[in-house]
Parts: sequence; C-alpha cells; structure tokens
Amino acid sequence: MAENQEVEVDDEDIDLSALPDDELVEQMHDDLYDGLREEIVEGTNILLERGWSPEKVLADALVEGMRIVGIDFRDGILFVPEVLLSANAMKGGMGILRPLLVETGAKPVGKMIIGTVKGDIHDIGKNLVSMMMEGAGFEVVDLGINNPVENYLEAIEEHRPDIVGMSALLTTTMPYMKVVIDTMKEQGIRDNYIVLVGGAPLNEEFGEAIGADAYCRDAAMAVETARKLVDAKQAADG
Amino acid sequence: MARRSGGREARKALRSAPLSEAIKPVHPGETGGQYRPLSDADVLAIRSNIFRILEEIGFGDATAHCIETCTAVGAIMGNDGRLRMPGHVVENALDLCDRNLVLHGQDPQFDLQIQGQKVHFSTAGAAVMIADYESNAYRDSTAQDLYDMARIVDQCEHIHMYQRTCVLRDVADNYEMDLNTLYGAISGTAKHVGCSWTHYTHLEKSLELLHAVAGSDAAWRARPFVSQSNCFVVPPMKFTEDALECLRVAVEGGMPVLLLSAGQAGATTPACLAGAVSQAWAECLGGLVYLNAIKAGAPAILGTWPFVSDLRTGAMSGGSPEQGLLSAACAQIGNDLNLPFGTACGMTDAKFPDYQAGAERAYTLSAAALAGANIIYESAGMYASLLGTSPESFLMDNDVLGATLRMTRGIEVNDETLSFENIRSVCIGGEGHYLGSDQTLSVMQSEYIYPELSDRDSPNVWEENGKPLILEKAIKRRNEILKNHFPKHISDEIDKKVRAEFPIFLSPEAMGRR
Repeated sequence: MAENQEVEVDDEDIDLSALPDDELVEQMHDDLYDGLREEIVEGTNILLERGWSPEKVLADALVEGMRIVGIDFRDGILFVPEVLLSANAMKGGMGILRPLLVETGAKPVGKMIIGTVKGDIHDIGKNLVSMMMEGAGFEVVDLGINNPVENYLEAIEEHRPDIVGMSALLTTTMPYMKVVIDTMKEQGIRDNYIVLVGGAPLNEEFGEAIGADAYCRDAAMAVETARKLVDAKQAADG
Repeated sequence: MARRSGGREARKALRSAPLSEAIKPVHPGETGGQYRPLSDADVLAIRSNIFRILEEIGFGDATAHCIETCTAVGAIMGNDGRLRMPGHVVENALDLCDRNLVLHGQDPQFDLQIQGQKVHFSTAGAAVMIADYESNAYRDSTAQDLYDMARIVDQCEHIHMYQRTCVLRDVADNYEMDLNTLYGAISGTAKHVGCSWTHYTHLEKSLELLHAVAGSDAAWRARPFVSQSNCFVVPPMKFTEDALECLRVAVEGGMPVLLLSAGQAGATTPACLAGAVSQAWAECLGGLVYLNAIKAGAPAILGTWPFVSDLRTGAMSGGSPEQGLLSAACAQIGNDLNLPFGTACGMTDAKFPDYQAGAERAYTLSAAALAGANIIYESAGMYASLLGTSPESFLMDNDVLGATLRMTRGIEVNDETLSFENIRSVCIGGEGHYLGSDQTLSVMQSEYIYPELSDRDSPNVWEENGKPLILEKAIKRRNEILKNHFPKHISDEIDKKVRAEFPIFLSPEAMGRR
C-alpha cells in the first residue's frame, strides 16, 4: 500500500493555456482542490480570453470545483484548513469574475449576511460557514458576534441580501433567533429573505419552530441548502 | 518547486493510505517517564528492600540446574533449602545483562527497540473464554480464535506485538496445544509473538518448527521473532521446576525470555503496594541472575506483572486503580535499573465492552505508559480479569492505545511550536482565527491523532447515520478483516513443510490457504 506522504507531482509541464477547454476546466477543479490561488486566477483569465462568459466560468470551473471540495469535506477526506485553502483560491477567481458579472447583469450566485446573535460571542462555526459560502461563490457580509436585531435589520437594508444567516452556540441565546425573525415578520419583510440558522444545540425542529427556512447542521450543509433555496427563489422571482 | 499535488484523486489515495512515518502523530516506542508515583527517596528505599529480600529471604524450590548454575556465580544455598542471592551477585547480573533488547518481527518493519523509557503495547493472556457479545455469553476459546485474533492484531497499528491471547480449549493434548498456539500466532501476524510452553520438550520441538519457518537455526537466532513468556516464579519467592526448564531451553535456543512474576497484592504479594513492588522486582531480579548465569547477556524482558486482589472476595482485579499504580511504580524501578521492562495493564474486570471496560482500560494504561513501561502486556482485548477476551475489542482498544501513546509523546516546545509569529499574524491584521493558517495546515495530522472507530459526530449527524454504536462498527470491521486478511508471510511451501512434520490443528483452508 502506498504511504501517505506529501505528494509532489511535477507540474513544470502543465501549461494551462495549452490545454483544451475541457482539460483546463478539469485541471482547475484539481487546482481548486489543492487550494492554488494563482493557478485559479490564471485559469479564469484564460477561459475569459477564450471567450467564455463569466457565468460559464463561474458555474463550470469554479462552483463545480468547490462542489467537489464540499463533498470530500463532508466525507471526511478533506480537513478544515484544506477547505479554507480551496475557498481562498476560489476567492481569487471570484475577484476577477465579480465585476464582470455585475457588468453583464448576470444572476449572482447569491448574497448573504451572517452573524452570531445577541449575547453569544462564539464565532468558529459562523466563520466556517462564512468562508465556505464565499468559497462557493456567495458574497458574504459578516456581521461578527453579539448582534442585536437592529444590526440584522440595518444590514438587510444596506446590503439587500438573499440570505440572512444566524448562529448561536448557547441554549440561552438561540431563542434570540426567533426575536430577529419575529421582528422581520412585524416589518413585513420576512418572506423577502431566506433565513438560515445553525449552531451546535440547534436541530431541524427548532429551526422550523422559530420560522427559519432551514437549519444547517454544518458549513457544507449550509452551502448546499443555500444553493438550493437561492435557485428556487430566483426561479420563483423569474 | 512543484505546487500541484495531484488534485482529488491523489488526495483521496493519500487519505486512504497509512500516514507516512514523518507525519504520524505517534510511533511505537514513544518516550514515557513523566509520571513518577515514587519519590527519589522511595525508589532508593524500594531498591534497598529488593536487594535485602534477595539476600536474606531468597527462593524456595530451585531446581538442581538452577542451584548449580546460580551458586557457581556466588548465590548461596542455605540449609533451609532456600537459594539466596547476595548483593554482589545481583549487581553482577545487572552488569552482564542485555539492556538494548530488540524484539524482532518476522517482518523487520515491526522490530521493537525495548530500551530506555520507550513505550510499546502488547496483547497477552491467557483467556480461557471468548466474551461473545453477539450471543451475550462467554464460550470456550479455540485454536481458530487465537489465529483470528492474531490476524486482527496484525491490522491494529498501536498493538505492537502479539502475545498469545487465549488457551486452545479444542486442542486436548498439551504438546499439540503449545505447538498450535505458536503456529497460529506466527501465522496470523508478522509482528513479534509471545508464547508460553507447559513443558521444555514442547519448546524443543517448537524450536524445530521455528527453524523451519525462519529457514535455519542460524536464521532464527539472527532474528528471533518469538519470545517466551515464562512464569519461572510462583510468588511468594518460590521457583517452579517446569518453567525453569523451559527458561533454560529458551536461553540455549536463542529465544528472548519474559521473566514473569505474576503476584497478586494481598494474596501472593504483600497487601501494601510498596511491599508488592519490592517482592515483584526481587523475584524478577532472581530470574535475571539465573538467566545470566546460564548465558551472560541472554535477551530478557523483566516482567513484573503486579496484579491486585479484591479483598472483599480474594478474586483478582485487573481493572483496579491499584493495578495502574503498581505497574507505574514497577516501571519507575525498571527505569531506575535501566532494564528492558514489561508490565500488565489495560485489562478490565467488566464482562463486555462497556463503560467500565473503557474506563478501567484507559486509566490503568495511562499510568503505566506515562511511567515509561517498555512493554505493556494485556493492553488490549482482555475482560473479566483475564478470563475472557474479545476479538472486536482489539479494534476499539487500538484507538485507546493510540490516544495513550499520544499522551505519552507529550508536548514539544520550541520556537516554532510556541507559535509567537503565528499568533501575531493572526491577531494583527490577520483573519482572527487559526483554522486556515499555514501552521494549522502543516500540523493537522502530526500534532493530532484521529480515532478510527470512536465517534466524534454531532448528535444530529449521529442520528442521520442510524445512531451507530462503536461496538457495531468494531464487529463490522472484525468481520471484514477475518473474511479478507490472511497474512502470507509464511509461504504455502513452508506451511506444507511444517504440516508434514508437525501436528497442525487448523486446516490450510481455515488459514486462508488452498
């Protein structure tokens, strides 16, 4: 059996610009997997130069690559630091694509505001979700920790996100998520947004009971759920 | 420098393969010695007591060969029939003995350096029953069980050698039982094997079998891959004839010997733990004198296995905290004498793998490992105070042993690990956390050990996965190993030769051969 050693494959011969489109996209999936930001930036530029639309580069090369990363993270093959490296490479590609997507008026992957609720200062889980969402191509506005309802409302007003994400680690602070949702209802804006909640003591029943759209048990699930719900919302909005 | 590492396929292959030696968080022989239950003054007092026991009390029931050999090096046979060993005789044996013992595997990758304060884990026995969880009952252990457990241990990274775990109750003849214990064990694993023999003539025949497997007498002597577990003493302070004869044949045959003193505090050693430690070590040093008188520098492991009596019943308690404490103290004396040392820890009084089993195994093991015991026998799979053993338990215990080794390895402190620059870059202008820092990435596998079977999922994920119990996972893994893993380090050709000369109980088919 082969030993688990840091494998170094001789890549001196890989000239991304010499690869046909399909092989280049496959190589970009591997480069995302390996967390190689410079290579992703290069690959993104090459595809654009070849006349690919920004939407197609995003969907076929980047989002698909990160989807694979998400699967292997869920299955315990990739460790957190490796996924963050991939997400960072993805952000490199997004840095190029985002202004172009705005220009062309293409549908963005989605925008999310996320924060830990009032009284709660735990942010490891929230940070992980934030980074995984960015890695999947979402634009993420991180409100940090200890957020009163006003912070969420102001951020909604300012950023017009698709998703409002709330996190709590404490059983004493998780009910505050309901305060935020109830306030959104009172203001008549609840149904304009997808509300996702997460945190160790939560479960699906709790998410349902407080009126969230979904409970996400981990960062990978948050990305999967967000994608699904944003697609559905965009389809419904036409 | 190449930056690419092959993408998904390469990483998947990497994660499904064993870690490289450089990345592994633990290795056989991590250095213990951090836990010292005895003060320096205590060690001196016990050492002096050990020498006094040997000089003033001595041993009963020495054989003629033992008396002749030991008196030739200065031991004194008293009119009361006891063989006494003055201090200079013991010191002389300590000067002559082998302190850099290597226990060989049939495969050299499993060679063990038994020296200093290096810590290793072994199975041992001898259970007479299998704790059969699936039928919720104890049943007689068999030749197939012994071979199967060897195959399982062969797949457990943190069990470094296989001492026979059970008695072959389906083999009636003692000669055939000894021989088949040996052949089942060495066929099931290429790791070092420990066995015991009921009569020296059985050992003589077994050595012939070992020569056949090794290729020749010389090849066997160059890399003896089996050691003899030898209860040469029946505490308190009496030799036993059959075992002494086996010891002699082992020494002459080039087989390392575990000089085993298995007293039981409160019954066959004093109830006071300091006295139990003293007597156990006195007995082992007496064995060392005899062994080195037969052959100076003959390879030996000093095996104080200080068991404990539950004084409410007189029964043995292998899972008691005193078992861990006694073993740790004996290890401290072994380290002080700088001798290759083995003890028995990690067994439980529970009948099946349950809360009691895990707790008793973990706390006794930690004490002995952190004290720097070179080999901790009985460290996996043993139940009901050694009456029962459980094949699937080895797989769960492997996680416990890995964790214990990680604790033994301790914390490395240097400029890099102190992490000042990493703290600075994360806190000042950085991400505010360490999850994605280069340092985290570089040490995520070398600094942390991850269990194979223990469950770390959240309750939600655990529920989604059907609420698996660790025992169910272990049984599944056991079944996979027993179905697929038939080691072939002994070739079909040698197996045929062995079968032609010796009464091998298990059929070739039962050992995965056609």
